[in-house]
Amino acid sequence: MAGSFFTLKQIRLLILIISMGAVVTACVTSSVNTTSNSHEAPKSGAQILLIQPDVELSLITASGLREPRADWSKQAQDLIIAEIEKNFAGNDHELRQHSLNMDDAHEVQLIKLHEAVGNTILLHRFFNQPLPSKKDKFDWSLGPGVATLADNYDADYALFIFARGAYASAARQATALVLAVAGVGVSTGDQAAFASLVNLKTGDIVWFNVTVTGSGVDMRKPSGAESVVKGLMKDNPLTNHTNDKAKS
Amino acid sequence: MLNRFKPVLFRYPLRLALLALGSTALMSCVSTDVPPIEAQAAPDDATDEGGIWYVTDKVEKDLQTSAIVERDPALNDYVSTVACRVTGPEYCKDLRVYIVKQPYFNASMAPNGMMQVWTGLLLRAENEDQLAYVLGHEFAHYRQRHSLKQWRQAKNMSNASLIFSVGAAAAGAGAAGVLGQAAALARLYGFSREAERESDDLGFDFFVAAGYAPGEAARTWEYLIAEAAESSSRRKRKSVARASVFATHPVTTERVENLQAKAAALPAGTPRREAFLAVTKPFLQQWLEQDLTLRDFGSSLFLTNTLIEDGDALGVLYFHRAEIYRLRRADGDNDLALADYQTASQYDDAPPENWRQMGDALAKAGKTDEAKTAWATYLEKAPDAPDRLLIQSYLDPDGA
Repeated sequence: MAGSFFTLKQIRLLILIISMGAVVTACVTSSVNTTSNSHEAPKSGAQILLIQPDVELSLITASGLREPRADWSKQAQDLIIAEIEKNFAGNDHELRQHSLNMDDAHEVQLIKLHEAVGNTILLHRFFNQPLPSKKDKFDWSLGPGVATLADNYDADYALFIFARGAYASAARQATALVLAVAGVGVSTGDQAAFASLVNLKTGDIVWFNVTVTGSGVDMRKPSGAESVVKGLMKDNPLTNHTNDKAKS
Repeated sequence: MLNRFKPVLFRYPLRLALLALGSTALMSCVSTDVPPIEAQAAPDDATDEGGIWYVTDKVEKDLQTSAIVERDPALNDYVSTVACRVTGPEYCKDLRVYIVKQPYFNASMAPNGMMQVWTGLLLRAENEDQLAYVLGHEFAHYRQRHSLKQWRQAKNMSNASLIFSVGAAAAGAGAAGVLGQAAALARLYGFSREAERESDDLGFDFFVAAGYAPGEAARTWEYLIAEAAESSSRRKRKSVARASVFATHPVTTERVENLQAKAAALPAGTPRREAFLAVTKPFLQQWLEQDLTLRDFGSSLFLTNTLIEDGDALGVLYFHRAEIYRLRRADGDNDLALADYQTASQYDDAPPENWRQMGDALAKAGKTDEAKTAWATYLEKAPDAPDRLLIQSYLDPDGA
């Protein structure tokens, strides 16, 4: 029965793979972009609208299908909002939660426009399809039409959050372990989020950040949401004055 | 043997792996035998169904704010009223009907109660009864929770196909792994037909209970099959269509015969046509124009001829048929178009553009004087026409 048991070498390799996985997947990486347009630093007492975060978390079934979970999504949404609020606590800006006014067609279009622009930035900035016209600059903008939001809500900035996550079911974890034995690696979960800060006077996206974490961070839990938001809010011009000063 | 001192886990890794995999996948097998959803019920957030609703709620929010939705209050009230007649008062509150500006014959039902009715369907339905049957069919998908069943089926199938593909790979038949996937797809397809059949039957019962004429259920499909046979697209003629209702609602003779047989056992009833025509008539020209954007002249002609036979809105319909000929540009089409513009001009409901196009067709045929009369009539009928200056230059080329 040659090959019907593991050699010591195979077992060592397996342990290495599993432990590497654990190390790699516990990390949070961020990628910050700030506008290359001329931009005034936020004045103290700036009013910020936190647009209701778009969060969708799923369960990974044994075979890898992703099944959306409403309870996890809502829970993570609450945790993320709480963490963002914590971020702004003790800071001289004012953060206000804002849910979309569906009766205001112009507002709806602005939010949709942001979604389109945000996805375009993601695609061309982070998914290896650089646009020649955006080389060496980050001048994305929703245009001055956003000023109606500033007027209607007496606000200076809008903060958008978009987060997705997937978590392995017990069956999936078992599958992953079993397949790892057979030498096949499968995903047991991942989380990604982006945040975008729009200047409501000019429409410019003044700061845009993408965060990716491995399965070791779980935004369904307060500690996981804290790590994700910490990575997500990295170097933002509203709550990171000290960082900015330290850098310049 | 040294082996016998190894823990059992390491002795037969492959067999154990398959066994473990099989048991985890089987354990996660969920029941696809779900009872019908209760009226005014919403699933628990912590369930697969709750997740499906969460995602479809977001899709619905997008749809609500989309320009693709027809918002005319009279038309929306009418279609929603027909839907409620079919669903009964309890379930009526669970459904939200959106009229979507799409030139294809289709309707769809999302698991959370978002129903879409495409304008291509309203254009082709001959009466309220045919519309009601489709709405009843879609409502049955909702009530029977077909999306949830389909999702669970997919989940179970993919778990099973995982076992199969790993098993096949382990047995040294790597290429056979693909078979597991193909089998899963085939089973899913079969399930979908089963759901369609159930919706046909239940939808029929709902619509008959609401007092509609039983024979109209099969008539909708008969019409669609006849239209597809006349399509200019060979693929559509052959496969009875992509991007249309047939992709998701495969029409088989068996399904049509099933509906015919059910209707034959019941009193015929009288289809309700007047109210349906009154509310859809204002949209006829717009929907026909959208249909023509598909540039399927064969099926557009078939549709227009069918509507002409019905004998309503003839000014709009002859004008439209002329437009089909004008755009088709086959030999002799200018003459056919001209004849139809001229016929349309005898009806009060012909749109002003009929005279502009008639002028163009006359000019092409070398009848300059008659063309000028037609263009002048166009400007009389549409004094604010955006192309007024252009038309005036035809009437008076020297600018005198």
